[in-house]
Amino acid sequence: MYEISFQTLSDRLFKDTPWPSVDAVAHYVDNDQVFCLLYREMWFRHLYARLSPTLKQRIDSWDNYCSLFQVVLHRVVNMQLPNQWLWDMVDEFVYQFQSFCQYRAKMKNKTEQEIALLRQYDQAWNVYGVLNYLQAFVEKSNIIQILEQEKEGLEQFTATDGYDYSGGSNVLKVLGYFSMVGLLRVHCLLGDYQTGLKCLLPIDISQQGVYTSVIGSHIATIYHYGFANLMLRRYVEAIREFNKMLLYIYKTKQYHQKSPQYEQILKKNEQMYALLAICLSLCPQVKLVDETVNSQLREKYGEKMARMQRYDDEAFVIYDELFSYACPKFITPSAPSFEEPLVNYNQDAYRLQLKLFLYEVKQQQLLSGVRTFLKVYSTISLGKLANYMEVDEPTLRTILLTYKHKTHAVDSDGKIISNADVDFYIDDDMIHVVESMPVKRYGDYFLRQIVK
Amino acid sequence: MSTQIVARILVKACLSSSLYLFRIMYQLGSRLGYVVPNAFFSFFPPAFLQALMAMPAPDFSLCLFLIPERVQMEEQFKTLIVLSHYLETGRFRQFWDEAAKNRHIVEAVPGFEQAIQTYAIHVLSLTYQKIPRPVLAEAINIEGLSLDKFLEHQAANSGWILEKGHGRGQLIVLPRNEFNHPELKKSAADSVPLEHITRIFPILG
Repeated sequence: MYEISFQTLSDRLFKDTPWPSVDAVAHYVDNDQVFCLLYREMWFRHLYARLSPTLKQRIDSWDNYCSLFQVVLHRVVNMQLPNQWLWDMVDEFVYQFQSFCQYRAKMKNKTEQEIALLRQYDQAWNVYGVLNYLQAFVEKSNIIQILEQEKEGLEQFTATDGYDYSGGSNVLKVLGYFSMVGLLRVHCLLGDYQTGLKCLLPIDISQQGVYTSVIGSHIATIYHYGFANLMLRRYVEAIREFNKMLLYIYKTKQYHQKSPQYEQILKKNEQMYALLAICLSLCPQVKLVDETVNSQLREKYGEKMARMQRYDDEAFVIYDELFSYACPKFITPSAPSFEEPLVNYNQDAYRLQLKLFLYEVKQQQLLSGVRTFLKVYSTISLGKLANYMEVDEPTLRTILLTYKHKTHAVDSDGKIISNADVDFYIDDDMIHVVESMPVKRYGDYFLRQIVK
Repeated sequence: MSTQIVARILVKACLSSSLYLFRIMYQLGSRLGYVVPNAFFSFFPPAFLQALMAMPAPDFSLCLFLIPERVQMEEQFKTLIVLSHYLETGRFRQFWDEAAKNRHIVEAVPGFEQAIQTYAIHVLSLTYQKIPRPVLAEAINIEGLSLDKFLEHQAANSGWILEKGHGRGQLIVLPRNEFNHPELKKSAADSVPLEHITRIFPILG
């Protein structure tokens, strides 16, 4: 009913109007509180998708989420809901938060009534409130402990897709699980990539899991995981995960054509190709990319990637274009100052992330030139390479140090990991080139087959 | 809550390496109306120096992702960003020159100089098997007799070896690692995390 009928009825009867209000339907369900809260959540979701919510409606939606989440967190909820529904709830919650921050940041044309409402309801969609609810789901559900115990065979969660077949409820556990993805997403929107990745740590994305049981959750997880790794210069990790996700979408998108999420799937697919193009331009590890994905990538961005690797003015324009197209819709979570002249600040967060990203690209400007020469030689003296690159020897030494620093990132465990496709070491004044082969991981593949 | 208390909490959050906590407290500071009082921001540079000292970890970049651009335009932050740029691009000579011009900032945190020297040695160790003495001296900002003592200490405690170069002075042989000696690199294909192996224990049993 949830996955098909609601969408069908929306298309047929409420294409560009809201569903009937909860007051109009409550008596049909004996004024059941939980039903009404769930219905209202879907009512607002439909409103956001098809129409434009007013400020009062945005605030009312926040109140509804608070009431619904309080029930789930503090009462015994003895029902099972489809994972799709539970994911949609978390996804929509974060989306409405993002939408509210964007809306609130456009202060210039706000009416006096809107400003008065914003002042009055300053707690609505407050960043701490949003983070607290997501964190509360994670903690109250004990999902982290459940996943740990599952590894030791003491719990069943992934094997049952999170459903409880012993008479209990899946709602809190699965909301807790999806909230980890929600937290990753929120922290990415705030520019806190490290914290976002930490929130996702309990989920092993090298394996199938409940996060892959819903296509929207799977894509959101990998998109944000990949993006966060890109911003932390862990390009190889980003390339690996984008590659896997894009290959999966390529093989399975036909089965989602009738899904209401189909357009969103296609959009995220395109964005991940753009991010993959960026990663491969900064870190040419084409051997990590599957042939199917590579062929799609060449078709979409082959020419742009060639231009990006020239690192001239045009290259920076293309980096800007792809980043701006593919990045999350960053937000400034703080409330506006009502005293100053009213200005729009909705682009501030995006401009900061873009600026810092381009700053990083600029710092890597000369590395492409080094790479070109290192691919041609097995050994070359510093003097000769300096000559070819038209720089003096001390400058060349700094470029080579930069190459090493930028191609050797620090992973989440604090270990140094190499992203370099071509590596080298220097013995006094002689450069010895080492061509790095990214190693394919066979271990996990064989383990999966053994378990099967 | 006074400006001073909020600022102290913020610095503590930074020093605890909890950027999330830092973010919350920064927003809290803004919400309480302490937007940009000068005394408030006088606590920031030391916290960001700590982030620079964590290099090669990207702590400083992570901080920049979180701080609004208008705050980053403040004079003290600009200096720190310049220092970070030099470290990110291996320009140690320029770094030490700039640090010398801004002693009042860099001396705010004890151990700053040593931390940067450690980072410099880290990058040199990724890059060099053998490094000429003048290159090392420039990177760690030590020369003359002080450098002699430093090299002696490193030779005794960290496996450094001092050699004579080909008529061009001293060569320092840095300890072997998988980045300056590729033959030491472990094959990733041979290693599988233990927690992945545990899934087949019931089958093996």
